[in-house]
Order: sequence, then structure tokens, then C-alpha cells
Amino acid sequence: MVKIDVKHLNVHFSEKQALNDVSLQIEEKRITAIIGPSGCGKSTFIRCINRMNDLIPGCKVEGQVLIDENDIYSKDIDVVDVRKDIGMVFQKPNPFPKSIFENIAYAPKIHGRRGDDGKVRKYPKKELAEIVEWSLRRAALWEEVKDRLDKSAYNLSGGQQQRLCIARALSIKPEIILFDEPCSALDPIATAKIEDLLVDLKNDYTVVIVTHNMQQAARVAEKTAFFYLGSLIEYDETKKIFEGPAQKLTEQYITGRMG
Amino acid sequence: MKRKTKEAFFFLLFRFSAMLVVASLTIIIGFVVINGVGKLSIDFLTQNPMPNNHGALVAGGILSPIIGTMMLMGLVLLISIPIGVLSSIFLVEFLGSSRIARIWWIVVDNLAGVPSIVWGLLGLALFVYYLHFGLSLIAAGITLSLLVLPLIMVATKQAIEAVPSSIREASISMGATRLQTIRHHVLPYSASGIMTGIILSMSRAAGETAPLLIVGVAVNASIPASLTDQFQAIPAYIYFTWQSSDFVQGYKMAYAAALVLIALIIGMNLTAILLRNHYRNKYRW
Amino acid sequence: MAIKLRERKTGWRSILEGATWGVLLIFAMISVFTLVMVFIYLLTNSVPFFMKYSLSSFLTGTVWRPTQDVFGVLPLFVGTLMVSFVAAIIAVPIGLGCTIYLSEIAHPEVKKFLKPIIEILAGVPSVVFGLFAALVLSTWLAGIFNPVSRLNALNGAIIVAIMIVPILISIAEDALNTVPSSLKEASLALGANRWETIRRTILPAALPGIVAAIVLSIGRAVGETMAVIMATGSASQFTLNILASVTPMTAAIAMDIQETATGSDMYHALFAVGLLLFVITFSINLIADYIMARFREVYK
Repeated sequence: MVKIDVKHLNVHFSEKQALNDVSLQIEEKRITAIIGPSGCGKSTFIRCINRMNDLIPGCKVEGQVLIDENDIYSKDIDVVDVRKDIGMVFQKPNPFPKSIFENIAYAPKIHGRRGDDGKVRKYPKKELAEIVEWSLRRAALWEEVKDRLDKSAYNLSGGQQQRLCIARALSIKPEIILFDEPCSALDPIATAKIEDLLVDLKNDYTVVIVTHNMQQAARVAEKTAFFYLGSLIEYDETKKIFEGPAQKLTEQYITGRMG
Repeated sequence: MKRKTKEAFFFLLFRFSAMLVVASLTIIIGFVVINGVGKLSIDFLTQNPMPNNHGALVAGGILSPIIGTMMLMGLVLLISIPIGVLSSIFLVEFLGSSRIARIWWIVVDNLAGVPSIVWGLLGLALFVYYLHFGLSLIAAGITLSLLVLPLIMVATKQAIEAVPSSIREASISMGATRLQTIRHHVLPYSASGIMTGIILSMSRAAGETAPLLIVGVAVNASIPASLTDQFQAIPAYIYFTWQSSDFVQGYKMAYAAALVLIALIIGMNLTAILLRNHYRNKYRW
Repeated sequence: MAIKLRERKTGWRSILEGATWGVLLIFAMISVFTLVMVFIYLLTNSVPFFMKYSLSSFLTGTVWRPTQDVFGVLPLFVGTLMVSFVAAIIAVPIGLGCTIYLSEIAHPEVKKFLKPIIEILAGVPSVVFGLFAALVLSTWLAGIFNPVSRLNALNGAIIVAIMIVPILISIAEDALNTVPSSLKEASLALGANRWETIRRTILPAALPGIVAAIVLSIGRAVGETMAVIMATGSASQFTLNILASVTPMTAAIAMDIQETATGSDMYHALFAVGLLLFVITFSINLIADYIMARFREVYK
């Protein structure tokens, strides 16, 4: 079933065009990889899904991004609300300069919980602790940090910090999780741990991952999209992209005869 | 001259320059301490100044100047911190790097360099005369607040801009609003820079003399009972006691007052440095 | 489960948000308003003067005797010039030398000790410097030079030099630190010694920042009031004798305004001097800003 339906997406940063008439459908509860050389627009694309490009001055977005058939770029959408249901993990781990517990409890604390009567209430302390534990378990980090939840997140290794960021994204139970080159700053062992985690997450979340590492895409994703210079060149089952691509450009990139 | 000799020569010159700088500070503070410490006593610190019939300050103590300086700093704190910090937050977070913001910050930076006497003139024209506050504590307090306002704004701006954008992005990507991000992440992180800026501005305000001479300080003022009274302040007191003394009497009161003022200011600066280091460790990136 | 997309919130949370931004905006406008008032007040209080006395007689008149309605600003201007200029001549070599030492030569241990000293020097109030200059420095100078008056321009210049050195060091040090270490390393790798590297690579690269530092410290010198009042005596004669007593613009304003009646010619004349001072320091700062902006462009 289609979760995210992108229709004729055009993105300009001041004068430069970053995305060129991109149309693509992302299916739910699967991992979709976005690959392509540097500067091809992969990060721009993924940041359109949770409207993070809004933060960049001079950014103009045309087209539609429909999530569950609602265009998130329409005028009467509250963008802050949209972001609550989409999690994002960045290239460089960026935990807050707070304790591990506070990092994960942050989002639940500020959003509160919508009760049966429709009113938003604060989470009681006990529930926050449960959320933190659940998120850390889901991110495969609980065992390593359960004894030091009140210590600074900065004491963790790079790979642990990134899993912390994943746990943080999970804490408000999003439906979609976006990964922007999550392993590029990590060593191979940490990378492997996160890739295992990704495969586990797809059972419950729609995962979109940008990666410059083709082997990674081949390992974890069901479908892969190849971008080049702001345009979507090819989008198909991962096996097909890597074993018998339809487009010449794709083949050139796969076989390394391109940047 | 051989290359190596040249290097040694110039480096010696530079070392000498550094020594000159250290020496000048040491000598000045040394003189103040040596000449002033003799006059420092409980009496001196707890008595009001006692000008004689001609208005010369040759007897008495430094109590009302100390209190006057404290009250001034209190006023400056109350007025300039909210205005300075809050407006900076708005300008940085809301206007970012737009053209208006850039022009504004150029203006603020340059206002930080306006001579203090010019601020005194402004205080005179606007607060003493036009708004009819008269020569008073409040006129001086507002004038000093305006004087340090650009300093606080610039310090706040630098502290806020030092927050890495990755932290802001992480917060926004989880559905926090800009204000929530400011409140929970930007402000705690920049708090130490802002506090340091505030303390240094206070210290600057405590040492200012020229505007006070024009706007409300008086030789014979005692502890102000209300905001519209005239007042004393330590820097002005130093000036008055200097004028009233001569080489025979040795300028003792002036030196002692200078010692008190330096102690106050060094104390404040040291606090600022300590705070900065403490919070830097707490929030190391 | 579909994402429920809600309509723009009208609940109390968004009202609170709007109110907070509103409060912040109000404070921003207060600060804009108050700081703009400076210039306006200076202007409106100087204009009456210029309506009565011509600008040229003000700027070129060589006698300043306000109590007798003689308002030539030249003696004051020359006084400011002498003190600031000579202060700069003294402060720049010493300040730059100290900066280079601090930035390139000193051991980290020494740095830890030297930097706080410079910061403390920057924090000493001008009235204390003035006291020292009036009582101690002037006596030393009198012993060496045997001047016409004990409190003179040279005395003021030296103490102002000591006062502006910390600012000079602070900005110049920033400029030196901005030079990429790759440049330094390239020079040393080619066999240049440290002095040659400093002289031929680092200093030229940091030159705009250093010039800005000098300009800004001159601006500070121009604006100094208390130290010059106490150090230079207060004769406002037009003289180029550095060992004579002078009155810079700042001192003139501070001292004469206390004997002025509001609305009198003298009152407005002093505001005119203040306006001139404001224009000078503002221009100096703009020049320094411009130099720094060009500097940043070069390194983008």
C-alpha cells in the first residue's frame, strides 16, 4: 500500500534547481533506499518528506507530497504536527547535550498524550520512563545504557549515539522514519548493527534511507531509487536495479563508472 | 643579519612587548594597592562621605558611593537585561540573516563604540530635562542601561549563534516548534555566554564615570531614598577625592576608593570567567 | 493506520506561542527605538547651535571659550587628535608585538597567565587609569621631559595607549587565529623559520583584521573621557606642543556641561561637539566594519 506519494516535486534553492519533476511512490512498512552520486538531490528529496527544507531560506517547493493521501504541503496543514509522525535520523549523530534519558523523553514531554476525551495531557513520570525503556530496547541500545540513563549522551560512542538518535526518533511512535546517510560517520561494526536494526524496524515502520553506499542499499532495501542531478532516473525492486538496471546511467553508477 | 639572529631579535622584541603590558598592569594596580590599603578600614567602608564647607571631599568614608554603585548596577540589570536578551533572541531567531537583521547588527555594533560622554549628553537631554527626571538616580540608571545595551545584545547574539544547527534540526525534526527549540535547547546552551556578557556589562557600568558626572552624581549626596534623588558612586567619588586632595595629603582617599573599585570589578570579571569555564564543561560539545 | 492531519491549531498552545513571539517583538522594537533615539537627540539638540553659528566657524575656529560665546572646536579637535594619535603610535607596536607573542610564540602555560592579565587590564575603569596618570605617570614624565605643565597631552597619550592595548590585542589575536594553519604549515615545510613565516605569510594574511583592530582602538581612544580629563590638565588652547596641557573634545563636554544652563548657546554648542564626536566614532567603526567584511570575503 502506498504510504508516501510524491507527485511532480520541483525544489529550488534561490536560483538553483535541486529537484526536477520527481514523482515516486513509497510503500508502507518497507525499506526504500535512495542512491546516487553527491549532489544528486537525495538529501533534498528526503527532507521534503518531513518539510525540513522549510528551514532553509530561499527554498521553494512545488508539487505534492501526499502522505496517506493528504498533501503535507497544502495550506491548512500544521507542519509541526506533521513532523510528530515522521522521525528523522541525520548523517552525523546529533544527540542533545543532556542525559540519555532526557534525550529520549524530550519529544514525549513536549507533545504530551492525547487522551480519550481529546485533550492533550502531560505524560506522568512513570510512563515517560516506560517510553524511554521501550525506545531504547527497540533501538537495540537498552542493554548497553540501562545503568547510566542519567549520564550525558556525549559519553557514548558514535555508533551508540546514532542508535540513541534512532531511539529518540522512535519515542513518539512515528509512522515513517527517514534516515539521511545514517552510517557514513560510523565504523563497519557500528554500521552492521544499525543495518540489522533497520531490517527489524521495517516490520512496523515505513523506512526511507538515503545512502551513498550501494552495498548497504543492496543489503537492506526492498526498493531502490536512483537519482542523478536532481532527477529520478530509475526506481524499482532493489534486485532489479543492481542486477539488471533499465537505464544506462543507473548501470554506469552501479558499476562505478561514474562519480 | 643572519636569518636566525633576525628571528631571535624580533622574538625578543615581542617578548618585551608582552612584558611591558604585564608590567603596566602590575605597576598601576600595585600603586593603587600600596597607596590605598592604608586608608582601608571599617570606618572608611561604613561612613558616608563628609564634604567640607567648600564641597571638597576630605573626610568621611565610602559608604554611600558603594551603595550608589550597587543601586546603579541593580537598575542596569533590571532594565538592560530583559530588553537586551529578549530582543536579541527575537532578532536572531526570527530575522536570522535577513537584510534588516544585518543592518541592525551593524548599527548595534557601532553603538557599542559610542563614547560614554555622548551617552551622558543623551541622558541629560532626554531623561534629566525632557522627561523631567531631574539629576537623579533613575536618569543615571537608564542612561547606563542604554550604554551597556549594545554590549548585552551582541553577547547574546554570539552565544545563540554558537549553538550548532544540528541540535536545532534534531529538535525541529521531532515536531518541536521554534519556541520550544529555543526554550529547551538554544537557551540552556547559550546561557553561559549570555551570563558572561551580562556580568561583563555590569562591570563596565560599575566603572563608568563621565555620564554620571553629567546626569546625577553629587559630591554631597547621601544614600538615595528614592529614584529621583541624587546619589554617589565609587568612580565619581574617586574623581571628587582626587580633586579635593593634593600631594601633601597624598590622595589617600582616592587611592583607597580606587582599590575598592578595582576589587569589585576584578571580582566580577573573575566570576564571569569562572562561570564561563564551568558551563563550558557542563555543556561540552 | 493513517496519519491524521489536523487543521491548524487554535488551542491555547498556539495562542501562547503567538503571544511569546509578540512579547519578543515588542522588546526588539524597544531596543531599536531607544538606540535610534541617541542620534535623534544629539541632532535635535545641536541644530539650534548651527542655526546661530556657522558650521565653518565651528569647525575652523581656533578658540574655544564657551562662557564668552566663542565656539571654535579646533583646539578640542586637535587635543583629541594629539592624544589619540600619539596613543596609537605607542599602542600599536607594543600591542601587535604582544599579540604576535601571544598567538605564535608563547607556551600554553604562559598564555594561560597572560590572557587573564590582558582581560583584567581591559576591565580596569578609566578613572583609575586617570588617577594613576595624574599622580604617578605625570611625575615620572616631568622628571624626564620637564614640560610646561605637569598634566599634558603626552601624559594622556601614554595612559590612553595602555588602555587601548587590550582591545587591540583582542581583535588582532582573532585575526591572527583566523589564518588557516595550513598556510603556516606550508611555509614552515618550505624551510622558512617561524619569524619569516609570521612576517611573510601570517601577517599579510591577517592584515585586514589587524588594520581593523588598529582602527577600532583609535576609535576607543577618541572616545575616552575620564582618563584624559585627569591626565591632560584642562587648558583649551590651540597648541601642537605635546608637553602642554590640552582639552580633548570628550573632556570639554564633560567639564563645561556642568556649568551650562539648558537651552543656552553653550548648551547647544556642547551638543554640537557631542554630535561631532558621535560622527567621528561611528565613522571609525563603519570603516573597521567595512575592512572586516572585505576580509571575510577573501577567506570564503
